[in-house]
Amino acid sequence: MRIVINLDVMMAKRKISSNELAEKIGITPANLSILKTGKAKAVRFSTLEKICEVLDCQPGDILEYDPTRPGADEQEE
Amino acid sequence: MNGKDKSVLLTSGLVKVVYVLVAVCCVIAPFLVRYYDSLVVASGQESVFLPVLITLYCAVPFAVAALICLDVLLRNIRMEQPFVAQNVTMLRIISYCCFGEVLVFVYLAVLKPFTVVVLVACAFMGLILRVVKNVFEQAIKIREENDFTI
Repeated sequence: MRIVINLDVMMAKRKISSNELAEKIGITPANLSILKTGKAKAVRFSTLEKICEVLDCQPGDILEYDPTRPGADEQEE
Repeated sequence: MNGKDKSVLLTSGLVKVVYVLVAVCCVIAPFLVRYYDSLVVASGQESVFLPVLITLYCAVPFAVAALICLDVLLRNIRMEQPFVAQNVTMLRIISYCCFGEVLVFVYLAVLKPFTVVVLVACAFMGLILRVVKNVFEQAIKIREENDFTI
């Protein structure tokens, strides 16, 4: 996946724990872990909106495009 | 227990019945084929005892393999896991079993043209199962996408 999630960087900057963030944005810690580890296939706008609201940041602060990484279709299933 | 569970249980029960039927057929096949062969010979045709018996016994492994796969498939459905990779494998194996039966019945179809019906039915069933397998594959992909959408 060429889209990199920098959620942990932003969380460290805001000094917020995974459980606290998960609770504030209304998702399970397991789902937040999927998002943080880059296993997620998609992010809902509503989730992104809540993350940006809680972390007081822009979507670009969390999502990054890295052309050097293998694309989603090139990864092993 | 809701209607859906009952339906799966009923199907599972039917699979078990077919297991028993296959086992019984294995035991009584020589007698049945002998009786059929006596009718064939009485009508002035050549004896087909051995080809029919060999065909029937060659068909058994494919039938048993298909039944085992059906059992696994139903067990996964009962555990509310219909869209898993294992089910795709099971459907693939069942379709191969159907095509295996086609190969088994080819020789008999040459001797007794009416058995072409079995051959065509098996081929058609194998084809349908391949399509169902493709549907399951697509469904697994969609489910994974849904599961990993946060």
